[in-house]
Amino acid sequence: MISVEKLSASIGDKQILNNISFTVEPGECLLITGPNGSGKSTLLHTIMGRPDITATGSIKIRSGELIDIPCHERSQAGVFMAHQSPPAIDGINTMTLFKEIQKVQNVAGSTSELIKLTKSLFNWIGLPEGWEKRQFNNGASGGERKKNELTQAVYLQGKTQVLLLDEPDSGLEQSSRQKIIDLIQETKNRRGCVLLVTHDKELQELYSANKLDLSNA
Amino acid sequence: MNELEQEYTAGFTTNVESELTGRGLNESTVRLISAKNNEPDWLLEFRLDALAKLDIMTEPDWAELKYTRPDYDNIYYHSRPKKQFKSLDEVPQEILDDFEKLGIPLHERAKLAGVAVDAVFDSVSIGTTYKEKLAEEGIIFCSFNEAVQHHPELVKEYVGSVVPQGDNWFACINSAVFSDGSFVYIPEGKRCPLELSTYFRINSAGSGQFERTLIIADKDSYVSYLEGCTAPQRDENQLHAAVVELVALDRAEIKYSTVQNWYPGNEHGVGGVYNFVTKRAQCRGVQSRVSWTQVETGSAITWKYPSCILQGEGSIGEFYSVAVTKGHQQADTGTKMIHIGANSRSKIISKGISIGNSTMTYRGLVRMNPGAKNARNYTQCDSLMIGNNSRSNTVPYTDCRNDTAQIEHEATTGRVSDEELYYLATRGLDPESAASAIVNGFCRSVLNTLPLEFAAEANKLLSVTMEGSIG
Repeated sequence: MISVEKLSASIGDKQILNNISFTVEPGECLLITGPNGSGKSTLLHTIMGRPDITATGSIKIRSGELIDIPCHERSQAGVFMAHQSPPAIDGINTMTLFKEIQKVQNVAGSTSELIKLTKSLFNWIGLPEGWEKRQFNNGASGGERKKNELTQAVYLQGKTQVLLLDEPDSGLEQSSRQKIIDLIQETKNRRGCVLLVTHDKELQELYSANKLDLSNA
Repeated sequence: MNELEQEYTAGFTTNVESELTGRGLNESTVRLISAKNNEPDWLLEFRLDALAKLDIMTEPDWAELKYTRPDYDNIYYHSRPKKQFKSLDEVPQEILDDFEKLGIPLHERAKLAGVAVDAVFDSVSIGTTYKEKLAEEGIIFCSFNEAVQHHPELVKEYVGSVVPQGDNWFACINSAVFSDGSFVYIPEGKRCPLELSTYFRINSAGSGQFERTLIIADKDSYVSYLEGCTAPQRDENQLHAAVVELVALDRAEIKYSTVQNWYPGNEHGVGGVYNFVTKRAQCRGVQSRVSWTQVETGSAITWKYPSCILQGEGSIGEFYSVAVTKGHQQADTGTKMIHIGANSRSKIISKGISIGNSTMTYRGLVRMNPGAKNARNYTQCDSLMIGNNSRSNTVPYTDCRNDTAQIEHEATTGRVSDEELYYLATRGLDPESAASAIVNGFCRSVLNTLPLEFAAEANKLLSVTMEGSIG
């Protein structure tokens, strides 16, 4: 579960979120809605702990309070974010990143098992052959980057308590949408919770039972 | 990005009574050093000649470096432990412990396997390991001062032959007041069975280190040599102005690796070593070959351009460099490849990384002289900036005077943004691990050229360098 209380957030001297409170129970998905600029992405980044966001209030997950700990510790505590526009990173190839993730997140398995697993994940999500050897997201299209995010989300789903999905569908073909639905379902089955930001009408409808509207926040 | 307190693990001071003499850059200092070393007249003349040349020279100001000029008249040019030692057994435990802490055991029983070490503490060499074993092969590996005493003919023939006294301001100071250093001679046809290594340590406050290294590889010989450097953490700047001369005769090969970790100053840019070094190799013989490999992470200021004069026909010069600056460090470094002989070849691979508020400049010259028929050069210099305040410059000069010569140059510049570091943090990587992973990937092609024993050390050094440099 995740419990957010009186959360306010600003970037520089611009206040973006003001006094927001909500709780998502284990196995639930919360759809976050609101017009552009209402702070949907900022809310996810505030929970994730982006360093340039100043936040006050409380963000609690099963393992404790997050508000004062740095981003990488929140990640290690089980918060996963699929970014809306993930960057390309020169000097680090995709496989190296997976190895680093395996190390810091204490995921079991030998290197050869990891290579096998990630290759099959890339294949399943529809990323090109040899993807693991490429510099991370170098020359990748928007859609490929989104797929890369989903692959990592699936790789870490056993550890994830809180899954933050920031427009996971944009730029993806229709057939990939089902994979997002599967990922959400799998997270719910594992008693994790999901915070979803999306402009996709179908996904909005599917998860409309539990909504947080930021229009007036 | 905030600079955190940076840890410099070699910053301790050894408590040994030192004798500091030779204050100021003048004739009495020069005569004093020469007398202390019991030098022959020709060497005193060499020094005085340099001192005279200094009068008409000026400190270079063309590099991308901002620093307060050293007060040359207030530096002690000679510092040595008060007690003199005739052998390693007489070296005080404090100094041996000091080197031990740095991972350089000097005692017979703990010596590094396969590596012969000359340890230079402030201005004097305190001991050389495996000397006798090497002597059996006819290889001379000793301190510079010992070489002057026992092999004066070799020193006289080669010293200043690659870097003349008046080459540049810093080399000229060194030529006047150099105190000690290392000397290597590999006889014809010999392949040196051990890695040779010199370890430099500046300990005393207010002193400078001015060592000279001279390596001669006779025909058909081979040697691999490594130097390492550290200094205690002090608030004032320490001056290090070394000269390294390499001579490779016909078909000889010299591999020279440096792991430079002088104290870089604190997080506010106070203190740190000024590293002004002239390193040059002369590939004098046909098909001779010299490779410079450097991993540079220390010093407040670095001014250093290890170069090759490719005189012999078919000679080869190589320069592989990884340089990292962080905090307020500034480095202006690169290489020169001067092609004189026909069919000479050179290769330059340079990786520069700047973090925090630091500045990194690559400066290189490739010159093809009229006689350098069919000579070739390949240069690749890549720079990576981490965070949004670091700076990087690339200044490659090329000068081609032969139509058949080829020069190829590739360069890339990239920046690891705060956004990328945040992205990696969202995957659980703390800022240092994130930067370290990126830097290791970026440097791999150079690190792979280091001798195996030192590649591990260099990797470790790079990750230690990353620690606390990003917040």
